[in-house]
Amino acid sequence: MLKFLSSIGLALFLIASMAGMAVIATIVGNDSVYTSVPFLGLVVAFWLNLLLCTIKLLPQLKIMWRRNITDITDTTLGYDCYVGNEENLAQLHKYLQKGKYHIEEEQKETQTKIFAKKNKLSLLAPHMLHVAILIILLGGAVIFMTTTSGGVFGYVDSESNLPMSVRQAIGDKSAEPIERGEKSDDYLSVQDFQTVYDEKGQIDNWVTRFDLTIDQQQVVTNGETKVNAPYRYQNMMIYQNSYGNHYEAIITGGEDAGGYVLPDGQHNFLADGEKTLMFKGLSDGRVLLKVFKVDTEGAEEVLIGQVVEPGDIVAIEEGVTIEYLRSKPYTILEVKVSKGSGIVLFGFLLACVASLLFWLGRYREIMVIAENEGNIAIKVVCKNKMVLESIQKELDQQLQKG
Amino acid sequence: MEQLQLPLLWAMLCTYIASFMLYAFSIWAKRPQIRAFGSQIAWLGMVLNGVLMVLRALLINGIPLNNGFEFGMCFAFALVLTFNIVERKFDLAAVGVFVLPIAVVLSIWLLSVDMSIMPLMPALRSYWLSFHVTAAVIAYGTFALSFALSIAYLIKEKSSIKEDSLPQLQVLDEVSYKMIFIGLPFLTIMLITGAVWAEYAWGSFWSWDPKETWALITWLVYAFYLHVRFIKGWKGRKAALLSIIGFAAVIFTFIGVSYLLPGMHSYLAG
Ligand code: HEM
Repeated sequence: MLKFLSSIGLALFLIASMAGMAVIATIVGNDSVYTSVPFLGLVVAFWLNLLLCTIKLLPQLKIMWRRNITDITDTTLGYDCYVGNEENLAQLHKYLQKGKYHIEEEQKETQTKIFAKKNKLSLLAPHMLHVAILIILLGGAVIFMTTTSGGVFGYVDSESNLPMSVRQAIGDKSAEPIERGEKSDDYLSVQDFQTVYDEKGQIDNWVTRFDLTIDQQQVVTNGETKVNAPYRYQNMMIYQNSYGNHYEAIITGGEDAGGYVLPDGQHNFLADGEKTLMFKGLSDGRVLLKVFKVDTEGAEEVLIGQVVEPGDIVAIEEGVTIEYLRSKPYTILEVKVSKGSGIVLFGFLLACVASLLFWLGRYREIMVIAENEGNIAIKVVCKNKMVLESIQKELDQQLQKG
Repeated sequence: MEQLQLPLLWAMLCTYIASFMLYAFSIWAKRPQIRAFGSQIAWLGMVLNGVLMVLRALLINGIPLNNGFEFGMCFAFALVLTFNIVERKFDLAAVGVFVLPIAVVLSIWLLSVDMSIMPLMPALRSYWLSFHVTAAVIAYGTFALSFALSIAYLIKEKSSIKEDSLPQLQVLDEVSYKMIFIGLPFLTIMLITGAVWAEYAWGSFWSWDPKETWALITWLVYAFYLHVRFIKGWKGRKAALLSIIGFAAVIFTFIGVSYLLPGMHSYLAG
C-alpha cells in the first residue's frame, strides 16, 4: 500500500487528473470545481503521494551525496580504456581541473584512483522543489482555512468599523453585530485619500492614509496603503480596493426638501417622478450638476447642466433650490486576516532556489583507475544521456584511446 | 518614433519569412550549404526584433513587457535567440524550417494587435510584473523550440525516405528534452512571481483566474513530461507528443484564454 501511495505511477495519474479537471473547469467556467471534494481530494492525495515519495528518495539522495573515492569499484563494467602514460594522466588532470571538478586522488603501490565530481548541489534540486511544493500546498491549505476578509467603506476624516468577520478573526471577543452608525471597538479612521499621478499626468496609484484602532487601542497611526503596496498589521493586510466621490447637497422647498449625499454619475429621481438630478465629477476635478427631464419612454432632456462650486445654490424648479455643499471622497479598503502566507512565501523561496540549482547542470562523476604499469580506465556517470555522451566524447578527443 | 514600429515589424516579419524560405529550400534542394545563409538571415531578423524591443522600451520608458504586443515581440525574440544559440551548439540548423514559422506566425499576430501605447493601470505598475513576464518569455521561448524539435522528430520518423537533411532522431529528442528541462524552472518562477504579485496587488496568491489556471495546467503537463521521461524512460514519439501538448497549453494560455475565456488577465488581449 505504502509502495503504491509513494509511486510515480500514482503521481502521474494525479497530475493528469488535476490538469484534466482544471481544463474542464476553465472551459465550463465553473470556479466551484476548485473547492469541490473531488478536486481537493486529488490535491490531498497528490500531497501525500509527494510526501511519501520525497521520504522514499532520501536514502538514495544520501548515498549519492556521500559518494567518494571509496565507491570506485574495480570491475571493468562501464569503464573505457585509455593508454596509460604520464602524458595522458596529465591531460586528464587538466581536463578535470578545467571542468572545475571536485577531485579526490588516492595513490597506491600499483594504481592511482581518481574520483571527480561536479554539480553536487544539483542533486538537491528535484528534492528541494518537491519539498517546496509540499510547503506551498500546506501554506495554501492554512490560508484557505483561515482567511477572512471584507470591505471597509470610509469617507475621508471619518471612522469606519472593520467588518464583523474580521473583528472576530482578530480575536475581538466582544465583537457582535452593531447598529448602523454605531462605532465598534475596531475601526479605521481614514485621514486622507489621494490619486497620485505620474510625470506624464497619468494615474500612478491611489493612496489611503489611515489610523487603525483595535479593541479601543490605536495601533496604527498614519498607515499608508496603495495598490501593490498593502499595509500589513500582524496577520491583517489592508488593501486599496476602490474609491470614488459622493456629493453632499441640500434641497430647499418642495417635497424633496432635505439633506442628501448622492453618488457620482447616478440619476436620482425627484418626487415629481419626472425629473432626475445628477452630480458628476469631471476629469479635471470640477463638479457638474445636471437636471434631466425624463419621459415615460426613458428619453431624457437636459434641463440644467452647470459646473458648481461648494456653496452654489441652483434653482431646479419654481420655489425649489439645491445647494451644493461639498464633495465627499471615499475609499474602499479590503481588509484581510489570514495565516499561512509566510509558509507559502517560504515555499516559494525554496522553489526559486531549487530552480537555480537545476541550472547548475547535471551532477556527474568521473571515476578513474590508473594502473601504474597499464591502462587508465575511466567511467563516467551521469543520469543524462546527452551529458554523459558529450563527456565521453571530450575524453576521447583529449586522451589517447587504449 | 511611434510610427517606426510598424515598418520595423514588417521588416522583421519579412526577414523571418526569408529565413524560413532559405531553410526550406536547403532541405528541398538538398543543399545544406544554404542553411548557413538561412541562419544568418535568422540572426538579422532577431536583430530587427531586438531593435523593435529597444524602440518600444524607449517609447514607454520601461521594460516592454506590459501587454500582448510587447510580450509577443519578446516571445519571438526569445525563441529565435534560443534557437540561434542551440542550433550552433548542437548543429541543428535544419530545424530552422520548423522554428521560423513560429516566429512568422507570432509576427503576423503582432500585426493584428493594438500597438498603441496606453498608460498602465496602477496594479500593473510593479517590479513583479517585469520578473513575472521575463520568466514567462524565457520559458515560452524554450518550450516553443522544444515543440519545433518535436515536430521535426515526428516528421523525420514518419517520412519513409528518412529525411536525412534533418538531424538525427536521438539529437532532436534529447535537445527537445533539454529545452523543457531548462524551461520548467522558468515557468516555476513565472508562477511564483505572478502569485506573489497577485498577493500584493489583489490580496490573494491564487484566484483560479483562467489564465492563471492555464499556466498551472501548462506547468503540470511539463512536470508530467519530465517524470515520464526521467523515471519511466519515455522517449521519442511519446515524448514528442507530450511536448506538443505542452506547447498547445502554452499557446492557449498566451492567446486562447484572452480571447476565449474571461478573466483578470484579459488586458493581455491588447
Ligand atoms: C507537479 C509537481 C512536481 C514537479 C514540478 C516536479 C518536478 C521535478 C523535476 C523538475 C524533477 C527533475 C527531473 C529531471 O531531472 O529530468 C523531478 C524528479 C523527480 N520527481 Fe518530481 N515533481 C513533481 C511531483 C512529483 C511527485 C508527486 C513525485 C512522486 C510521487 C515525484 C517524483 C520524482 C522523482 C522520483 C524524481 C527523480 C529524482 C531523482 O532521481 O533525481 N515528483 N521532479
